[in-house]
Amino acid sequence: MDDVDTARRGLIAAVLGGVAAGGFFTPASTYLEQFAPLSGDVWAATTDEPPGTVDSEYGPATVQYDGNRVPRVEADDEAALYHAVGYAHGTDRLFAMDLQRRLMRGQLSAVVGEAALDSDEFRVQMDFAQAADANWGALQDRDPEVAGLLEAYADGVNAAREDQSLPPEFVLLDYEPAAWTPTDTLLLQLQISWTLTGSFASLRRDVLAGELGADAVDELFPRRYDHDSPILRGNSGSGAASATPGRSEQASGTSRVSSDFAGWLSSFESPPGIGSNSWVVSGEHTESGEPLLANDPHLSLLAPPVWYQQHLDWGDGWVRGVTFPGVPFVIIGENDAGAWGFTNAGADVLDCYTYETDGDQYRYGDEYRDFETDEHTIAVDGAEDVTVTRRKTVHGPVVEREGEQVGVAWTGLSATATTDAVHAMAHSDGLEDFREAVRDFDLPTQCVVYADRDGNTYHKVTGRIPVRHTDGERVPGWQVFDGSERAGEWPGYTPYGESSWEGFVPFDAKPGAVNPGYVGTANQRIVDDPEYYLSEGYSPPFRGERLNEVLDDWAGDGEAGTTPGDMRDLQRDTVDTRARRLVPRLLDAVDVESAGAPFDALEEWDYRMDRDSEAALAFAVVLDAYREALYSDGFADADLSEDYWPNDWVTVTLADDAEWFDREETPESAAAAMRTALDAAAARVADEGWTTYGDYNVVALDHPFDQPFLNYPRLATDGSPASLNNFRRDSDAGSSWRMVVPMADGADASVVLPGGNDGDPFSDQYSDQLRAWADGQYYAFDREFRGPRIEFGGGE
Amino acid sequence: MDREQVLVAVVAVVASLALASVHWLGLLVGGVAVGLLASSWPRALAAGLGFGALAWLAFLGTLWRAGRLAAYWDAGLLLYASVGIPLALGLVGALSYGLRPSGARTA
Repeated sequence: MDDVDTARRGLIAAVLGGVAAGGFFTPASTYLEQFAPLSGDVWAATTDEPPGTVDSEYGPATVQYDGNRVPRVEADDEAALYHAVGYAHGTDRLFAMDLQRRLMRGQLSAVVGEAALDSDEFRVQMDFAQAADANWGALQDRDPEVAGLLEAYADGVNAAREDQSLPPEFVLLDYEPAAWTPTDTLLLQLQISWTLTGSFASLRRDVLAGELGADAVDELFPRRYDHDSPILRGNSGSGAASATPGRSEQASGTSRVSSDFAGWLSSFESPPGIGSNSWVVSGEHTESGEPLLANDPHLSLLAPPVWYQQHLDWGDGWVRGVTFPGVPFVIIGENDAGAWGFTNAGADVLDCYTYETDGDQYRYGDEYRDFETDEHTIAVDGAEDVTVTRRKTVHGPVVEREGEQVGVAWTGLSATATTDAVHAMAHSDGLEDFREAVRDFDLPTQCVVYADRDGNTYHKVTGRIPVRHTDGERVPGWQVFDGSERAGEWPGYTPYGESSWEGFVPFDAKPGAVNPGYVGTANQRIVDDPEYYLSEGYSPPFRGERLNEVLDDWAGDGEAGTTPGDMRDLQRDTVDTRARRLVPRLLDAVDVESAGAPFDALEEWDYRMDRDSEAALAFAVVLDAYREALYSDGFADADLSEDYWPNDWVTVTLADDAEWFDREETPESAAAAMRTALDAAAARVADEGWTTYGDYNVVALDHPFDQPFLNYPRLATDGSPASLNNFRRDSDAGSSWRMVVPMADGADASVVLPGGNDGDPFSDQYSDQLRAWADGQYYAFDREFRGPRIEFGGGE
Repeated sequence: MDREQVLVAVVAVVASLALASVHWLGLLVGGVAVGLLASSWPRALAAGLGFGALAWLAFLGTLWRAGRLAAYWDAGLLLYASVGIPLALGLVGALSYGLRPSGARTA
């Protein structure tokens, strides 16, 4: 028995020892270290609170949060203020900041593996990192004060990174972020600028002309939409010839790059739906007699949101609003003097160039020049490193894939003064001060609206817009240029250096208005007849025409006067002017009565995309099916993917006599396509079991890791890609921050984020504003700060 | 168990929880401790599970105090792992009951 006893005890000891050893020396150790209750790193990351006091060499400051994790940062000294802002960003959003930085540097593969390799290769070839380096060097020379603030901010981020447990995502990916630097802040500014202005539309159009023919391109991709709702109406400009629409000159079958290559490049543009609404109404038309301003930028909707809300107070001034985590200054918001917001201008600030090449050289005019070449290694998690040969020409980077290449010029690859401008806007002291700041806003091209507490209003197109020259003549930028022939040159531009901008559209020639009675911007055409070529193509005017329609109504109603409540109602307005155009045609072409619910509701519909509407559901699914019916076979026949399909302006206006219907692969007419679409839509609704628009229009915002516990809860909402209440379900883009700000003393300013301010997925403030956002509700901009408090100071 | 044994058990559990708050090994050690102090195999295994459950409840307390409890219930795999780990380690640790010589056991 003793032997049996000994054997049993030995066996149990071996089991216990084996489990303990396995916990240390097998892959299980990672799970135990991360997820074991009480000691797991993930739990430490989420339960760790910032300390009550932080040593700071920048002097006294405080951060105090409110119930929505919005910080109020107070300091007399500006460096101390932005050091504390950095600490708040580092506490609440460090992972998102690091992810964006990695994205732009081409370092995502190092932590997420081969899935990000394409993105890394593109961004390494574009060399955004060198552009940010050039920007930092220029900023230090030009404005040492602002450069010092970026350094104070970076120190604040790094203090938070060192003081506290890293956010859970770092634990799950098992890496530690590098120290934050001022260059990273400038890199994040480039990221949002790329999102708003990085467009390969010229290249796509070249491919389309080659595959479909010039006539089809002119019909399906008009350079100018036939509407009368530009941002600035009644502006005739000087009417340069370059601004008029021109015919596609590309012959069939002669595109300069393949559709695959153009498609690959286009995949690095922002998703569909990036845009914005903003408008300003002067005191002449408001109930209070003081201006009102509204802004809701339409960006990718993510968990957590792209924006971070913050309130800053420096004793004799204050500013509150949102910024991108990683950028210290409030970008959209209000201060003690005024309020401002942005919409994307849609200006053309990127060109592509082709070259005749000979080995390591390219022809540039009469001479062959060496490509500026270097090798860059991309680390890939779980796979071999990848080496990218990076090449540059006089125009900028050369992007290449599978033997195809184009040179790229983009204004963001030169140093800009945007950082100075954003800082100056946040600290501006009224209209004239703000206008001076706007002059320095080099990137991205935006339509800014402004109102101040003295009753002024303002609108201006910002950003550097190139004036292209070929053989000394001004040419429009809607083409792929022959770089070897020195076509489409940008005088005054230096990629990865400091541009003089002398050849660019002069500031005073860019559209704008001082003290307009009201102005509405929704990414539509800015003016009908600009002095300079501005854009290859604006957004369809669906939101813009609705905005102008309501603003005109308000202005015509002289008695009542607009209120902040009216502004909020307009911001959540769901009228879809696509439906206004398509539904009457649909009712003529098909029998919706016999199709039953929800399609029969289309006969008596106010075109509002409300979640409880049957008709809105019917319209949405018919439109989806109608696009399919119109384009699927015709584009597939030309080997063009869905990404090349025309936009909804063409879809809802394409007439029965369009030449597109003369092709063998396309429907015989728009009416025939509508009949096909109705059948397909009815089948889809039956399959899905949908009854109202809210079943279809679901907000499903995901964390970059797309894990259930990191993603936001699913909620039905109102609005569509074409309504002012903006939400695009297919690409999760829409109103990323809603803000309505009155300039009257004591009036109710209101804001809301689509999610929460805290990036910690276990925090109650991770998604606490999401339902209010989905329901079109707001929070007061004024708020009480009684949450956790951090005191800074006492350092050397 | 007499009073002295109860006291030893309480001290062992508290010490193991303290260790578990800094390292997962504490969860195994706690199971070992309660297993060694048990009077039978069924009691040992029950004590091991009980220790794991106690550790998990203590963990819930830390989440509650930090305002993280609501989101924890939706944490999916992380939730399952954080429940499974203490129960499994506590149970395995309680096999220590079998380390005692036969003469010292009562089952």
